[in-house]
Amino acid sequence: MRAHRSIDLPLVAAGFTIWSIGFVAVYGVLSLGCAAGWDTVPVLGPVTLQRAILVALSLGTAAATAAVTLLLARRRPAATGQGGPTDFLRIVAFYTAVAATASVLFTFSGVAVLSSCVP
Amino acid sequence: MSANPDMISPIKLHKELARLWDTPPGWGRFSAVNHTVLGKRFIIAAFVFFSIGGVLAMLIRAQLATSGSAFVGPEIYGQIFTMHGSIMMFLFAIPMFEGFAIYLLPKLLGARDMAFPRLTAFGFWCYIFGGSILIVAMLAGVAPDGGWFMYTPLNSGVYSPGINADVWLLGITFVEISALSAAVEIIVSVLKLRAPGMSIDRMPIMAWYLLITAFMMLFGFPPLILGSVLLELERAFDLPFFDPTRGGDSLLWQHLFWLFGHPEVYIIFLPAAGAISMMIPTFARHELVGYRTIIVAVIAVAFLSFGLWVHHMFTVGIPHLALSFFSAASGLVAIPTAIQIFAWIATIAHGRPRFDVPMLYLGGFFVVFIIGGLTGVMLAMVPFNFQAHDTHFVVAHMHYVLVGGFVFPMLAAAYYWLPHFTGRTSDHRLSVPAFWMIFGGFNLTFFLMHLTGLLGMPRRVETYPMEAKWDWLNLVSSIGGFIMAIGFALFVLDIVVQARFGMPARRNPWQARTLEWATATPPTSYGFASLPLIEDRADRLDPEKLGPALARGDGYLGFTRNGWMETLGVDMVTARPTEVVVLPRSTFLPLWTALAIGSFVLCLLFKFYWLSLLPVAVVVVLFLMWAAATGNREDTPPLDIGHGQSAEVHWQVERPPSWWAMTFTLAADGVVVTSLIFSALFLRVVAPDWPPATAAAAPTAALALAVIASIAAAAAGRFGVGRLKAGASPIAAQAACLLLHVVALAALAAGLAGIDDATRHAQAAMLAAVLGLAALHVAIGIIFAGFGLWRAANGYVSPRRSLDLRIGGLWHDATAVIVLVCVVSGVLLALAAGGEVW
Repeated sequence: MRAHRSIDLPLVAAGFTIWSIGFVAVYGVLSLGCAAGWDTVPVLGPVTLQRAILVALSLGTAAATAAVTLLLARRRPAATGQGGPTDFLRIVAFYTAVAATASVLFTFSGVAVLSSCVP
Repeated sequence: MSANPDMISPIKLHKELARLWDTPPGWGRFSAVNHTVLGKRFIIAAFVFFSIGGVLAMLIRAQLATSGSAFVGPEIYGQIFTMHGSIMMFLFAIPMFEGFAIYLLPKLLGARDMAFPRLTAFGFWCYIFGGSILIVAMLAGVAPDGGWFMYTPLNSGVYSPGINADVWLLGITFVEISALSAAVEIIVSVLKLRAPGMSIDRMPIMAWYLLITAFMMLFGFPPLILGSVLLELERAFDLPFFDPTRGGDSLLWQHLFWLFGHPEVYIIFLPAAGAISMMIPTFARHELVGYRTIIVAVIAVAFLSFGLWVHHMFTVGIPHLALSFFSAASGLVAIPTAIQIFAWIATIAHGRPRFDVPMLYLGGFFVVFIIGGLTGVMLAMVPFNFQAHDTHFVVAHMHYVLVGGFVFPMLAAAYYWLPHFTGRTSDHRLSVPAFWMIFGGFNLTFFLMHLTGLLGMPRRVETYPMEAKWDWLNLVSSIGGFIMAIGFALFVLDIVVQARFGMPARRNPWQARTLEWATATPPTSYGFASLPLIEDRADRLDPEKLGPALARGDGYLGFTRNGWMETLGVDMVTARPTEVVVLPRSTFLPLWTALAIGSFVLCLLFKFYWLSLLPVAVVVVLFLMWAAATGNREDTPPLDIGHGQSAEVHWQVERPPSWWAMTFTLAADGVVVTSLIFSALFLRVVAPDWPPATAAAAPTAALALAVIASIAAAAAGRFGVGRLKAGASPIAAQAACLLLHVVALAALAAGLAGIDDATRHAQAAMLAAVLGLAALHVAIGIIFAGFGLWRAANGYVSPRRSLDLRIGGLWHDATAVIVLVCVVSGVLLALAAGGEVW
């Protein structure tokens, strides 16, 4: 049985914690941007400041969950048999992070195209 | 004292344990802290409230059976549907799950009780008193009448001037104390009070479900508590948080309510799903398929459910992009939910299923819940949601999800665990017709309600014109409702008959493989005469063999000593025994404390604000008496736990259950603070009439002093702990901590006094709320510091017994951070509104 570290247990929530932070950040910045008029500030052709920030935040969240997934993949045991609680937690953490990464991509999929503020 | 299991007979062991753990008879029953007793009381009370809510549902259906009905007028109808929803959500579903969790968890985990038995009792009494306030108000004709989600401005003082809305805000918040205390207790119990060897990968699946659900409660309930407090402050003192004419916004209430409200649906469903995951393997005669996958799915559901709340607000005028976030998350949550359903189906498919009454009710669950899930995906789609919003389609969907996802599994669970509760077997004579009446009546009532909704019938209307042509659908729905009610009456009759006259049951009548069936049935007060060593996953055990061995005292702690009620604390991951947890005996303190809080609530309800300070003082004194009753004035050597092993007593280890309880409580507290700051930011960004013509100012010097004093108080607290561990006296440091808190409180009071009129605009009200919350934390810090000082001065602490000061230290640290965050937010709020900073 592998010795466990105190981080193993909270890591099962790592992926979705990043999803939550990204969700709050993107939704919050969307509201702030609409109030501040960022949707009327062009930065590159048709791309507004609002859109650029939201896309950057979404990609950043996706990158963060993907990075955590890769880190957890390294910690994952090679075999998925009876490896004890540490291996169990590491496998759960990995698959939860995979689910979180997919959730980020799906949840924020409209960020590049949909209208960002109520006219 | 008898410490050698070889020297004691099972009968003598039982008698010794029962003497310690049994609840006293007579009036002593009110002092019960035992999980088996209180779990049953929770369940019975929740069912009583369910029956009241059911009678109200019948009145609703009687009113809507025909067009133009004059059965009850609009005022009474408003009270009826509001109370129906409020009772079913807050007084039935959550407490029912709490009752099951409290009754079952220690038995599933191989512990003798929950981590904090007095907290269990306290939560029970808060629930009973809070619920009673609502029911008495209803009988007096002043029940809440503005809908179970209490939207503003309808429920603000201008449009609801009576005490009806106050009854909801104060009564439900009172009940929520029970929910939060249950959440903390469930988390700590699952993580710390398991049988030795029950490592985290061996936990019964229901423990995982309850653990994750409890975390959801910890983070989901605080926004509603905050919203309720803010709305009550608006109603009582005219602070305009939700008043758009003075910088408030009614949408803020919707955000705070649904931040709680949508996770609530899953908070209700997941424990039921845990029960399903226990029952199906038993009847399929095959272990649960996808144990690990289910855990991943439940974690995903828990998080995603916090990203759905705005789908209740799709029509309030939100940008398309924001709608897409919540629509996507709402659709997405169906996937991990479906994974659980497929895992249950796979378990049945891989096993050799046998049919019995619980499976019949689980069949009802599958049909009803899946229909509810599918209509949920429909409602998650924005265009459909716009069409169906606020119609009876939504009412139908909600009932399919909640009755399908909670009531049917709980009925199955009642039949499954009834032999455990009562020690008697089912004879099944009434359970089958009861099922078909409930199932048929439910679908007749609510499937047709989808059609009524699609035809355009709005929810919450007390009547409708004949020209609308909704009569026959409503009439059939009402007939279905009464059939369902008769089915529930049959169910109650069946349960009573079985509990009273059923044949005595042998141990483990369903041949289940989980630990709760290793106890006696009905269980003894202590559950296990000795605690098991778990060497396999907790759903692969043999209760028939394990039970007698544990009753003989072959496990851990198979003896009594010092008159202590003992169970084991373990490492959270490996379940290696780490401490002997000494639990408190029966006491009236939880009852008195809940009564004192009830008096406080009644004072607020009847607007005796100055008088309300008296019960607050009583509550503080009573809580100090709770704490004073624990601990020891001497160091205790490591204690024998059996099997040749020993462990420290819990107050001498670094992180016992109470340390974790404070940590998780502070996490919930952090959500309150974050929600308040979100509210301030929301109003600044979204609400009309900002910035105010005259903004409230923030006295920076006083507030800076508050921050410095709070940080210094935390440092003094830490210094005191350090000195204690080094063998020196912590008294001077504790005294400094107390004095610094007093300085911080005075500085914050000066800041609050600087707000000349908090009713003028939401900016001033929010500034007062932010600083008031900081001051409340500092005031509680004074109590912690004073208590630490008393404990240090009276010999309750030593280098090995520093727990009291370390728990206080957690509060002092958190207070320093919260004061800093609140003060910075307050200053920014003043600056952003164009106010002065002086």
